[in-house]
Amino acid sequence: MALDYITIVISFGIFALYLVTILLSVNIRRKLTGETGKPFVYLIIAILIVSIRRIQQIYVTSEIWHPIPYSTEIIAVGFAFFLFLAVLNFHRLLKT
Amino acid sequence: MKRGFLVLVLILLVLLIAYSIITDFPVFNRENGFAETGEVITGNATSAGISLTITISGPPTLTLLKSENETYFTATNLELNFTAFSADSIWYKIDSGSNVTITGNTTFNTTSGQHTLYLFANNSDGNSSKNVTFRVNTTKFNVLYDIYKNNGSSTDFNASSYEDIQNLSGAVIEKTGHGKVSFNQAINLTNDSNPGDNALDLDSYTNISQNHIEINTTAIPNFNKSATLSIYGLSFSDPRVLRDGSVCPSEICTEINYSGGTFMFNVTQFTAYSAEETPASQSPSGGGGGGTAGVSGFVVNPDEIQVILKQGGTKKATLKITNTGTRKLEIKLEEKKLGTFLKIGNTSFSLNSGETQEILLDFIAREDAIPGLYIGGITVKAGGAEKEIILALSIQSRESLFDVEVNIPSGYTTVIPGEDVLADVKIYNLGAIERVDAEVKYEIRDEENNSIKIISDTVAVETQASFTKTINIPESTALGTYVLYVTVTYGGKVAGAGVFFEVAEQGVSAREKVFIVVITLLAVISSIAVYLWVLHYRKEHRKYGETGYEDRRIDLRDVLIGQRE
Repeated sequence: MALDYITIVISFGIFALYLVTILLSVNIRRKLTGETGKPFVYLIIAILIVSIRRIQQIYVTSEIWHPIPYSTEIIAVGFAFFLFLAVLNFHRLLKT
Repeated sequence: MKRGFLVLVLILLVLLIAYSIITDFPVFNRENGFAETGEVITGNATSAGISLTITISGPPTLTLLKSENETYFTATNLELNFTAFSADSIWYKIDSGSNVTITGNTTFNTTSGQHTLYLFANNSDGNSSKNVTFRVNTTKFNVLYDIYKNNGSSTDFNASSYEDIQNLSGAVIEKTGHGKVSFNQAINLTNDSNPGDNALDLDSYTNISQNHIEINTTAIPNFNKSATLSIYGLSFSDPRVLRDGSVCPSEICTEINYSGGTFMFNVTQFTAYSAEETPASQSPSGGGGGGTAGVSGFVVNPDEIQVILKQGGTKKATLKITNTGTRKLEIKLEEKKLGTFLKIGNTSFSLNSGETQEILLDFIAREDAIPGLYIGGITVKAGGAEKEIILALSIQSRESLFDVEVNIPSGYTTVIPGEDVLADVKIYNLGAIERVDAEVKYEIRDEENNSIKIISDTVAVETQASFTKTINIPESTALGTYVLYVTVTYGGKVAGAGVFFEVAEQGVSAREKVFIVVITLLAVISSIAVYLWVLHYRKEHRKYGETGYEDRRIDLRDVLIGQRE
């Protein structure tokens, strides 16, 4: 298969957005004190996981990596788990 | 902090300078001998060159390695191998024929009967000669191996003598793009199931095709030896060996390695071998789809058959169908486009799970058949699925003056539209004793027998012409299997041969892959760098008390509580 440039360009765009989101989240986390920073830590981990998924997508399309069975599903579970932790912590914060 | 870093850098710099002084200056280097003191040596050191020339005088030393005092079963391309020491010129002659000057090993043609090969060499000190008597008996034995002749590293069986082929070591049969068998034991080629026929038909009783290597050990039991098998062009990530469609036991098959789509393994005996992806989790249920044909439930081998026939000639080929599924299959075979040229032995039968049926195919060229290439096929239908087998039948004029061989080197059997296909072409002049200009036509045809491209050329042939032809595949060519058909026409008689090749989509190049990796790394590194720079910039501005850069820390709970109040 020839290199699918459309997929690659879109994936790089998404990846760049993820990176900016991570850096902004890190910055927000730095400005927060005490327990309130915790949801952002989980959010950063969740976005890191989807960034890895995006890199995998780019590398599989470029035939640099061979697709690993169930890797997409495992990454999705990881993302869902950390996003859940972030929301849960934020929810607790609202209750206290 | 900054000062500490500066001190560290200075210490490292001093250590680096000290190290280079110790290693570079000889006064500190004991190996150079300058550290020892005590003796003073005075005088002039001089040097003198010594030139030594050894001249060996006398006539050249000749050793004739081949041909040998044996019987050869072909009269063409016999090998003349020798070593000659201190010879100015070398020449040979057969019997009382004319002298032929040579510079190295060569081949020659002769006729049936007993002959003497004389090899001469001379220099300013005199002449040397060697001779050997050998016999040519073209009816003594015949090896049919058109499929493997000049194909990859296949052994040239005809170059060996009758005595040699009775204990032939290191025999190889290879079909480029598909696979190779390298025998690890010596083989007696004459000792097949019917030694009385003085023939060995490797074309009919061996089959190297896509993900399939098979030797019919009933017909040629002398080839049932241990061998190293290579299957080319696989796309598995972790293949395993199949023997007759089932996983090969470790006492018969030993995997060597799998790299670049080539799977190498040793076998102790023969039957049909192929490969499949090793399942992630071993399941005891047998059968299933996959295999060479890629159709679930059954496998057909080979998936391409190429036959060369002279007008009035016939040839047999076999097609193997294996039921790899778990239920009984009703198999139907339909001939496509070859009409009276092809007779299928059995067109309808049933196969139980795991069973294999051999179908005999008779290719017939009538006396009045028009020379040319005929492309057709066989459709195998079973269990709602079907598989196409491509057949390419090349018919040559009965009394053609020429014979043609065409081969696409391994690595060039798959081309991308717009790129070149490379073909090694050999044309043999079988009749005329003089140089003749023959018209050579190169034609590319698709599976439907449509002509994609035709190129014509004129080639002068004395005894043999051998060259590589490059043909560009048009950008608009559809992906699929094609035949490069080369015909030589002289005096209205046509000889031709074809070879299959694939037109496939372009893969991702190494340059593109490196580009992608570099872009990814750059994206990550530059993002982190920009972020760190922004932090540093803000810190610097805070230092100078500029407004808008205060490092405010917020407790989100305070904000939320404030909102509630």
